[in-house]
Amino acid sequence: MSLKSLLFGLLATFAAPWLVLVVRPYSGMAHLAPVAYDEEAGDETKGFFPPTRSADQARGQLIYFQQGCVQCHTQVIRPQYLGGDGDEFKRNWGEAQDALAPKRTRQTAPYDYLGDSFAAIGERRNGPDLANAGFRFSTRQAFLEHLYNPQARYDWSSCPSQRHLFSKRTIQGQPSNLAIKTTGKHAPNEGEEIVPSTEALDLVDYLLALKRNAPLPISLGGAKPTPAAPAAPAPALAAPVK
Amino acid sequence: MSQDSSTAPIERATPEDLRERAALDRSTKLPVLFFLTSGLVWLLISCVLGLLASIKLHTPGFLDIGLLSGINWGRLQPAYFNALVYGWCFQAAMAVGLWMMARLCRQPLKNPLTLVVAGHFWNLGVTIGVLQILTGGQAPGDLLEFGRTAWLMLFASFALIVVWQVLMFASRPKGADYVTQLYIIGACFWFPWLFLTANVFTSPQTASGLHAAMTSAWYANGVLFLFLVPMAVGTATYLIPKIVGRPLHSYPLAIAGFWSLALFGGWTGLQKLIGGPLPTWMPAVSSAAQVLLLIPVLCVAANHFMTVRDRHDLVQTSPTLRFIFAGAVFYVISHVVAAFLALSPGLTQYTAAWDGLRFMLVYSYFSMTMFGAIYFILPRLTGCEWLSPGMIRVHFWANIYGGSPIGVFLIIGGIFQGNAMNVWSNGFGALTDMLHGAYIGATLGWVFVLAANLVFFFHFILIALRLGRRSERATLLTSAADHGPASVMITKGAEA
Repeated sequence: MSLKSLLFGLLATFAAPWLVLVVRPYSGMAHLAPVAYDEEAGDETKGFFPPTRSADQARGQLIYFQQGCVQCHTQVIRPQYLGGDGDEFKRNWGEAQDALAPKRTRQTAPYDYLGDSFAAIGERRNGPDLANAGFRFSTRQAFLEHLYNPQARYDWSSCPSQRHLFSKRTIQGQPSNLAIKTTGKHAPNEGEEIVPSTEALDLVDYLLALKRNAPLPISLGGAKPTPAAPAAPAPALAAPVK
Repeated sequence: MSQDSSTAPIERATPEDLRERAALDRSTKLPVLFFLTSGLVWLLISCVLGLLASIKLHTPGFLDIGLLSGINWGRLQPAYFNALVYGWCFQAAMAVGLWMMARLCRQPLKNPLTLVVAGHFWNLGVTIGVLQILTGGQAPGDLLEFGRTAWLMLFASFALIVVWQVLMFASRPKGADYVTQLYIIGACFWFPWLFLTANVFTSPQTASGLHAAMTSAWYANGVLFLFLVPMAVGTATYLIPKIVGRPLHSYPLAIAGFWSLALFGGWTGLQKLIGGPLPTWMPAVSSAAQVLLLIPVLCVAANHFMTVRDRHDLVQTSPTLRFIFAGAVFYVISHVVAAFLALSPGLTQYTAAWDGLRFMLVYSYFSMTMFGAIYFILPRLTGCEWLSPGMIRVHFWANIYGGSPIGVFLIIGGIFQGNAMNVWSNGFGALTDMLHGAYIGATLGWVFVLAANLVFFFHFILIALRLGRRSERATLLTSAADHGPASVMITKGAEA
């Protein structure tokens, strides 16, 4: 076989999947913009979908990738036909979410990753799915304490401590209001405190904002709210039962 | 391509042939030894990182001291896997591919130094990438975790290396055709395309989040099935007829195996994201293609099996054939598992089974095949024989008893994990407990793998320094006398 005909054969067989699976979808996905909720069409929410990410949260997402959080955690809610009930959000993966989370949420939509440079869908679930991580902790301090010592909350957790994102220092004057409370091996000594770095704060900002509760606009195929349901508040807040 | 040409590599060699082969081997010696040595150093590094990563899965607090406290599983896992794939697998593939290409095209390598320079840049790129991951600067994307500096260096040096392979192929004499050349050219065609596409479409300036994640899934599968698999298949297809001493059972079948891989390989990858927010047909197409990849497996496996036919006793004696045989078993198993994972997302998606599959493909299949090739090539490059059959046996059995269970534990553990994920009442703690045993088992396997490769590295350094056995007879795993005339055939003269 001559080099020319070999290369032609390779080109013909490989260009097809390349164009169909990579290049063509890019032209469709690269220019998506947030969609406005349309009250006339029946949307009960105001503003835009999806809610935009702040600069702190965007930096937090970068930390999430750089530290390899993305290696163990997914951020995707699969449809009903996969994985039994499909609605991972409902399971008590981390008990705290029961109290705070709405009872129903929707499957992940393409627009949920809008504005990200890389969709943090993830690789595997060595840790629980984080698509709705924002509901698991009520305060930033609680989340920081969890990052510092994950086993304090769940002794079975295989999540590594992120204490390299914190610093231990001697208290001088007034203790910092960011200082975290922790016990165990890496607890602060008398007269010391543990304060989060900017990276840790950005990371928690990002994680607390992970709430996929903004309803899908009707123009994107979202369901029309039933008349009996109470009006949904703005997407930034935890939405009640839809 | 004539039937004659396909039998060319195994014709009984004349003295002129032997002299020509010796001249070809001399021309490739420097770059081949360079790539193999640095590849093996990366193999040892990735074994250490892999062992640490495996320990951290069941004991996250392990080595959580001082400056090391940030090096968690999230960094160790990509560091180990990238070091294994780009550090070891690619360099082994380049070395073995280069050597086979020169032999098959009957072209001496004209610029060995260029290749060594390119090899230095390749190693520098991998070093930068791995250090970046370990210090907390990994980029997102499966097998794309190296930063921009690293990928640009890798791309440039790969291009420099590939050029020589293509030139050798283009200037080969008439009739010097064999299917292995197609596999090498194919792999060297697919990888740069995959790599460039993936890195361009995931770079922060151009990327669109969801599309970047899709491209990375497509790429990660492509690297395995369109670079590592064809390189290993090409190697086995070259070496099996040489060792058995008869032509390939069916040359058309071998060609069919290559083109069916080319046809389906590029469509795989997106099955990993099934159920994700992308058009449903895309993962569906990928799943189907992954299942259809069983066609080339059937072609290749049947062909190789029929070539060896009644000479499977050679697996006992020839180190090369023994490693290639073990690799071939995992070649079939891993493709069946890949098809199974593509068809059972509800059970296995986002579980450890995917890691098991990747390990099986990269280590138990690809690396074992490359070990076999190294056992064949090194005596011909250095002019001396492997020192000790005992060390080869330790290398083989420690890999079988250590390497194989890692893949198997992770796949079975992953299936249990996926099953537990689907039970409504399970808390996440139940899932973590479910995998505990599999992860401890994998750690045990890693200890064996590390030991095996330390022994192999020592053995390799001895022969590379020409401290091997001076003999006309190849080092076999059982003595020639035990096996009669069969093993006499694989002495140096007949096999060279």
